[in-house]
Amino acid sequence: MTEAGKKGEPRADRDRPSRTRFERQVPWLVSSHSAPHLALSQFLATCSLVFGAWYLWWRWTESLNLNALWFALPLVVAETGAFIGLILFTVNIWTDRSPAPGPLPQTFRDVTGDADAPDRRLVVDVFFTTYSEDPEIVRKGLKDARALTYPHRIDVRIHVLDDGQRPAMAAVAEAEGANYITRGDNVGYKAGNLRNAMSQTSGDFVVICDADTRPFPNLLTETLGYFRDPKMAWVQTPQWFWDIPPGVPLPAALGRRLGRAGSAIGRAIEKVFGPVRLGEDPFGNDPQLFYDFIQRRRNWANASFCCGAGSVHRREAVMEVAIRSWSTDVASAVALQDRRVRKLTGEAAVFTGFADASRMASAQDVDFTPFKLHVSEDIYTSIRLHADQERGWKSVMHPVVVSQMMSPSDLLSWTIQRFKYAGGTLDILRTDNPLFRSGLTLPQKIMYGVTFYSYLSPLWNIVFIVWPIIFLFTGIVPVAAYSMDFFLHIVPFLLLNELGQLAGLWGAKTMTGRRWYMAMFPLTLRALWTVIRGRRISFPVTPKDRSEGRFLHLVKWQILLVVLTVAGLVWAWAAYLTGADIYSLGGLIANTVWGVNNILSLTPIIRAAIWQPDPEFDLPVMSGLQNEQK
Amino acid sequence: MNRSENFVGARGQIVWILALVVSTATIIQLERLDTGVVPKAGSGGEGSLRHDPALMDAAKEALALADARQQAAQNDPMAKVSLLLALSVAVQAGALDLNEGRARADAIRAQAAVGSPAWQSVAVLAELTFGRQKAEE
Repeated sequence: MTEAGKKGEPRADRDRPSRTRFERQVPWLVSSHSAPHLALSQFLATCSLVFGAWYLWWRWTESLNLNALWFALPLVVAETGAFIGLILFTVNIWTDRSPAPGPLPQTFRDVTGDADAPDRRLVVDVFFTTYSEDPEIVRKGLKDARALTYPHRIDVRIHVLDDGQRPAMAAVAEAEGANYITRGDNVGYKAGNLRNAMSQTSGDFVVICDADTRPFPNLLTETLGYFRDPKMAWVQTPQWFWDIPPGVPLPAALGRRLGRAGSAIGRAIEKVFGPVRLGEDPFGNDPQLFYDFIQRRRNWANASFCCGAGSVHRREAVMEVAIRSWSTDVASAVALQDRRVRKLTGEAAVFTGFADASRMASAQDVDFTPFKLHVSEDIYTSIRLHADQERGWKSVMHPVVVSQMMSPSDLLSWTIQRFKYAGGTLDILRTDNPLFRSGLTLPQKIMYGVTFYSYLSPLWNIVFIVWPIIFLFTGIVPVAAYSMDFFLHIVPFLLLNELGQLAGLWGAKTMTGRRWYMAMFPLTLRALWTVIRGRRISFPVTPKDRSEGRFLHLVKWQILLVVLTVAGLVWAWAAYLTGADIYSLGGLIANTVWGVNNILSLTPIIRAAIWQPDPEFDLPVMSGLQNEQK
Repeated sequence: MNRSENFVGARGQIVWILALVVSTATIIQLERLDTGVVPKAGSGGEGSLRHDPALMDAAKEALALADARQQAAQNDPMAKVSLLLALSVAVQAGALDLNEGRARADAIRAQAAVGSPAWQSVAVLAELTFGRQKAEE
């Protein structure tokens, strides 16, 4: 970790170029846990897993309601599925051991590990991929890229990769001194766009930026040190969204309704509980938990994967793996052709001339692509690099924020993006499962397994959401009884699990991430179904939905489930209090807590569907770009 | 992040932990108090075994048979065993009122001085049935 990260000083913020209205939006600081803190979290996590295993053993062997197996069995299977996910997640966040960057390389020789390598300047290509985005947004990034600093003399070449073939974009590129690259088609979308640019450039390193990425001046000084290790293939940095709506502070919100007294009450509440902002981050876009914890804690296993924008790649690694993959694909195609011909002709061997021709044809047919042409090209390319045993390529997640970008600002954009992530990842699992891929180490397989497994979560989350509703309306229980025995088994597990995560993820807004993870189950389920059927991974959108801002239909399942849970709670408690005796009090309280937790998980996404930015607090931040232009 | 910011970030989890502890404590306390609500019949519901109509009928029938045998052979130790067993089963199945069952069982247990293995087992069963219910009262 860099000095900035160690000391936790806001270095990234200091170096940020924008100094205007929205500069109060500052990136998170790198989390730092002491050794005793980490040991405590590991102790609690282990206890949680032991108690969890004990609880599940008891569930399977002693507590199933045999009179209602149709109800009891799915729940215990779901609990087991979730517990396996918990084990994987615990392994993921076990430790934050990361490689340290070396001194910044001065010449090409410094990054090769080869004393005979040329002692020339380093060349860095900065790619801005774009298709239909406003050229003025890209211009901001281009300006910032020109301000990249480095203590030694290096060549920084900035390129605009425009898949939209737009003259306006070309003009902006020219005005900002950037090279403009375009192509005649859009094959492979972003991955195809990058492939095209790779063939027209030659830098030693490639920085990937999206159209809205704005690199901070310290991007290269924070990352290039890692490439002293000649096996380092890429460095990923966090994607920080500067435009996340900050929400309305509680004193202001109460002040609007109750005047001075409201403001005073709000301030008093904040004094006790800390800052409260209503409507903060309405789409759960804050990615700190993912980058600063989940990704970074894969460093020890050399398994953090590339997420596209904000990453720096060694060209040699990307190209070499692409060549290797291409030659493997050609060999497979030739072998297949060979088998077919031998089967057709009945000959033991194929005529040499024909074999050569077949090889040539296959070589022309098979795509050569540095970035796998796939909807999740980033993770796919990462797997390919990590699996290259011969070269043993490494990756690292550098935790310091060194760029800023924009987040999806409505539920439809958010849904499309998450559907792509889920569908793309599940598609890799179906077609090229990394768990069976040779070359990956066991820790790497586990880490990739965590990612893939997390997208299977709707299969158990739907059970967790629907089951209390069934209990509340019918009194049917999935356990033998909500007895003391039940609480004795489950409560220690839940408590230790929560404490373990509290300690292990100290500094992250875990609850927000967990709720969104739970709430997006219909979307993930849909992605899963799309992949199972082998359909194209794209989320159907009507232009009218977007133009009219109609997003409630995107959360119809969540609305239905919240309504049913509330109705179930009213029904069950009314029945209990009026003397109906189909419920035990323990069961009723347990399912009430469970149901309320489900409602709290599902409501943020429903709120996001009808969310409107607050003109006083949200809009100035969301339209920060325009403010800056002024 | 400083300590207070970390606490602010963890508010949701802290509230969750508190809710878990409070609700568990509430359940334990209320279970101890016993609000008097007895789980009733329902397919798969809590206590469903006790209130299965078919089982209730079977238990009533068994009790009637045991009664008849006891009337016919009042000095037969096995008749007493059968009746005590039938009373325990009838109460557990919800076919007989607890107090009535206990009174009749106590009467039989007072008369009996049987040392057979069958009697000993059924005496334990009766103790489990009536003794536990008594403790819960």
